[in-house]
Amino acid sequence: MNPLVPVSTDPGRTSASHRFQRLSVETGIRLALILAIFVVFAASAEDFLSPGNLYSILSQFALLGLITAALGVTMIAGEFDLSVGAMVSVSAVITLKVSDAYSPIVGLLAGIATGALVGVFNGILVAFLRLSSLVVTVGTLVLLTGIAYQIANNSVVSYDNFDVSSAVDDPIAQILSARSLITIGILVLLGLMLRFLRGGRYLYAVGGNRAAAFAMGLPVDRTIVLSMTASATLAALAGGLLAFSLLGASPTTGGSLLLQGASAAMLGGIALSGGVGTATGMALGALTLTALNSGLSLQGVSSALIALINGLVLLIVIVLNARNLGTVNGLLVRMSRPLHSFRGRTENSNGR
Amino acid sequence: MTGPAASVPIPGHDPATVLLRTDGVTKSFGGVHALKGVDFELRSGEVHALLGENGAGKSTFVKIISGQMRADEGSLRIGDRTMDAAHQGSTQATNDVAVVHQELSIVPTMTVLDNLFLGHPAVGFLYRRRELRRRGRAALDRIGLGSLNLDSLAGSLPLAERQLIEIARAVTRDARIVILDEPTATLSDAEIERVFGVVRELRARGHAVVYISHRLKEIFALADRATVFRDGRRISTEPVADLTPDLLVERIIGRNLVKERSRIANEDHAQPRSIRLDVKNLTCQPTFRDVSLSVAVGEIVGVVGQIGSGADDLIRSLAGARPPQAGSMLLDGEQYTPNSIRQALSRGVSFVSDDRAKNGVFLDVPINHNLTSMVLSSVVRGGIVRSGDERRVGKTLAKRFTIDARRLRSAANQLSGGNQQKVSLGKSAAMNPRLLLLNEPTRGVDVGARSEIYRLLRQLADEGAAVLLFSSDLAEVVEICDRVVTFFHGRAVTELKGADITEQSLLQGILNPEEVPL
Amino acid sequence: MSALTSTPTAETPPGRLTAVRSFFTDSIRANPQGTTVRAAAVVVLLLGIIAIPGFATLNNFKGLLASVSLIGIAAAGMAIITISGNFFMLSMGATTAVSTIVFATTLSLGLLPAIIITVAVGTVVGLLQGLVIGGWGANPIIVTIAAASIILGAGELWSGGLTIFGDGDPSSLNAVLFDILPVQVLVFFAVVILIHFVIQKSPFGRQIRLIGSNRDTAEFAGLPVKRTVIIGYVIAAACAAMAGVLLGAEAGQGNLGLGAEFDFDVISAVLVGGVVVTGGKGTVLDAAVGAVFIGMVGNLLIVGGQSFALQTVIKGVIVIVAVSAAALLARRKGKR
Repeated sequence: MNPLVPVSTDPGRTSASHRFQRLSVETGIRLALILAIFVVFAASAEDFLSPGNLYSILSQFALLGLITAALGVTMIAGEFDLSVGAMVSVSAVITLKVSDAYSPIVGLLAGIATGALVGVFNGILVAFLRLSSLVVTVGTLVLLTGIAYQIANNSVVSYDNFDVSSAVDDPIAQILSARSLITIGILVLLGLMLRFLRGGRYLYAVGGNRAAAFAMGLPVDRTIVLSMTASATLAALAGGLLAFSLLGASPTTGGSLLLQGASAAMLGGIALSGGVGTATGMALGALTLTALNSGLSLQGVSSALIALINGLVLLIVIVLNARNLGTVNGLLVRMSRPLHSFRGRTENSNGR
Repeated sequence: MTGPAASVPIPGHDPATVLLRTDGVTKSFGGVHALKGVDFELRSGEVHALLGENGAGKSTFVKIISGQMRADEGSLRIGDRTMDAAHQGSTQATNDVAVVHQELSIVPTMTVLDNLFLGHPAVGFLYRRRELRRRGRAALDRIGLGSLNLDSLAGSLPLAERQLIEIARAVTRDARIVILDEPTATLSDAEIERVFGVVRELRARGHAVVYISHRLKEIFALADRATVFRDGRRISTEPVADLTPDLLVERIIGRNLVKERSRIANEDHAQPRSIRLDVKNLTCQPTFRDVSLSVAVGEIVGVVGQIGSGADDLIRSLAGARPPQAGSMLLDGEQYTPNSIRQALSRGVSFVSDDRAKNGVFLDVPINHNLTSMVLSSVVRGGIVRSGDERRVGKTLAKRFTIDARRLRSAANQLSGGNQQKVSLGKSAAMNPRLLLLNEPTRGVDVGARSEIYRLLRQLADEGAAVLLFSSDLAEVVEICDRVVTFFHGRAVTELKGADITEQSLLQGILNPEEVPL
Repeated sequence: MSALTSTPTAETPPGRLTAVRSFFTDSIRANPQGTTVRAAAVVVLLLGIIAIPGFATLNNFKGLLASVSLIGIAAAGMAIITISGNFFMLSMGATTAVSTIVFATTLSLGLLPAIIITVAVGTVVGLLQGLVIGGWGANPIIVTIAAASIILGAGELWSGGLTIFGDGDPSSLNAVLFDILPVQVLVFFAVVILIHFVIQKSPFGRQIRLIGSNRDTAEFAGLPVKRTVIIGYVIAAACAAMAGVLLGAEAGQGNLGLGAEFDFDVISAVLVGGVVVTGGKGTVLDAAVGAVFIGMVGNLLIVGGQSFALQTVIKGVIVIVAVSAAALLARRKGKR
């Protein structure tokens, strides 16, 4: 009969250890990368490992981690949310305005609610109009930017409530803060949900082979809407907390978060083509990027050069992603590419 | 035994429960009837084979009973629940029916375990792995994949194993009715035996298995009853014990074994003609191996075979879309090694694909632009596309390929399927290829356009091209091909010439290359 | 036979004037949205002249024309990208901004050399993006996001964050002919006509359109897909650079303050003008008209006392509506 590639049996290993093996190779590589960054920068700057700097790194991580999670969730589903940065700005502005009028809790809720609304909107357009999420979220991006400018009246919104600012930012155990703990908590929760909820399987299937997901009768549309809602909500949460931290918000608060978030997600092993990624990866990716930026900044590298380097990182990561070179998973899939590539092609937005 | 009947009596058997019943199911697509008044009955504890040529209505019928589609008329009863036309579409969700599709529905980035239980009704809100592992292991054991690691990535497995996993997935559903659509296309004999074991086990436990296959050997080995579809109708349902392969073939094709065909094929084999394409021992793992054939100038040669036979992939390999690994090809005596479609085109080898909407036609582009898309340089002067020249070339091509020249400015999606196919053909033939390759030349094309396309192919051959085509429509192959090579499981099996080419001989070549033990 | 050759629709008789006319009517007939926008633009213009004081002044028109020109030149370039099916190019604003710096820096070499060098730099920037997107196959939108960051970072490094004052005389670019027509508008017209002509009439342009209509079919038809896409990016970036030249000349300095607004303007211009986001349809002329329309609407709002933010909100709505409409239309035609 047709000689086939040898059946991949592994009698000497249990199922659990096989999977653990594969995942830990990937995680190991990422940990090694972070370790390398830490070592390099610690060696060249004394205070890299100081509690103050570690606090600062984790503080940045608090923001970027949530954004990476937001982007990561949509990417696993095979979509992409370009509006996360703008969402942060809008949420920050709304949170502060409402907090000023009512109370911080109400303000934060208002910001999060906005995120949920926008996310549902994005999700419906993508799922039911079958539009590319890249295209829809460009529109949302522009719209949200405009709204941010409108609400902020072209200037910076400020909020004089030092209590809330210290609440979110006061150091805990020297290097942590409420914000970073929230982010860590959310990442842990997300990881648990992805792993232990049936909805997590749906997410991976919708991103991994959308045509098959339809054929199997999975709730594809619902999954897409949920993922985009989660993305916008997480971004909104990040924006609200950031606003409390800075006690100020402007339409440019979101800044380069989209770029950094995308880099962090892909560094963390979340493929643009969909169907792969873990919360651990998101966390590690975000940590890698914040450590890198912190180290560079401590070395006196100008912010312009840091921005350039961040762009380069994204470029490198996306070039690798294009040919599935970035992950062990991707390599494995690539090595045994299914036949009949003319049939049953995946049909998610990114398609690359 | 004769042609379509209003109601064919369903033979009675020992009292088993009727699991599924359809009455008068009818379905049309755009005015064309895919199914006409189908009455069907499925019993518990049986393996029920469905046969019929492509386009006979099997797939549509399967889609309706599996809930992927709704019938226009007629009723569907599952167990004692009647689902009228309005309420169909949910049989998979209610776990009455589990389907193994022709197209693989595996998610390559997820593990075997995940794939086994995606969409499984027993999986609740929480994904309980330990329990699922147990059940998954048992399912894999039954299918003979006992040593396969549940945590392997499905995408890293060979095609046959993925197919087996899909079968295992359907089996774990524990649905009363399991539909297997060409499940063994990619499997080895040993693996097929395992699948049989699973099917027999299902039958023993009172399930009903609908088994769709072209492989008569399997049907005779496994099935209890066989239903034949033809032209959208259920022609017969008989116990397999009462059938022979010849009888089955007769049912599938219909009475007219000697029907008057308007053979356009060139009967004149007297003059020696130069060989344009000479293929020797061509191999492209794992779809076909050691294939040799030749096509002469002015000949129309057909390759036929069912899914998994490698015939359609041969065409793609020759076109440069799937470079072969071994063997040689000569084009007019010179080495031909197409590593890409562009390379193939540069040697005068043009390809008309089977999916015109996907990659054969530019749908929202004017017909004229479609036709000239592969011969742009002929309408370019001084670096500019001359609309006068283009109009002229377009009209010539339109006339030649019987496309209405007045509509040249309309977008291609304004045309009927048949005319779109003519555009696809005209576009690929505009460059006067030496070798024209076609995959399913008249898929989704109405009768009128079909004969026009046949005439066009004959004309192209007469004008000096060599034509090689793959078609799953045997009547078409009989009508236009001078020679036919039949494929089975990746190898070229028989070659038929001239008057030997009949639907019966083709079908036998495809289905039954070995003697069936009676 | 005669039935096939007779044509019920009026065939344009040979002649240069009618050839020119059919050149434009072809593009209009192909895309009803474009015609609608043209009509709407005229309506808005009239409304503005009648209803909004301060709109129909010479000064305002000059300013309006100048800003429309910049967006229009960039939109002409990005239209190529969109028609080819690669959605948007989010590095246009960055390219234009950095081009102002390149222009200011090289102005000391003379006006013409400065222009040439600036556009050349833009070409290189486009080529690099084209290679990664067209050649390697990476995601078009995200690559341009990364590119924007790299370009801006490089620009900031070069300028040290300072404003660079050009050491030369760019005033001929700022001249206003006959006191009404800024040179910028002439450049705008020239660029649009040139690129429109290329896309409508050249084999390259035809290939761009076919690739945008169906990339798979284009590959199967043996079209040089990668090469064509790369060239598209080169031209688009060159246009952004040209806009930067004009901006730099107008401001008399190189400055990175352009912001993401420019990208939004260009995207909305292209989409509202009628270039369909899924590719294959629409013309460069449509994008140019879109730029005029967006520019006028924005100007009207400002002169009418509305906030700048409202403009952005409207642009966002435009993008979403245009994109949704395209999707609904495609669905009805049974594309998906």
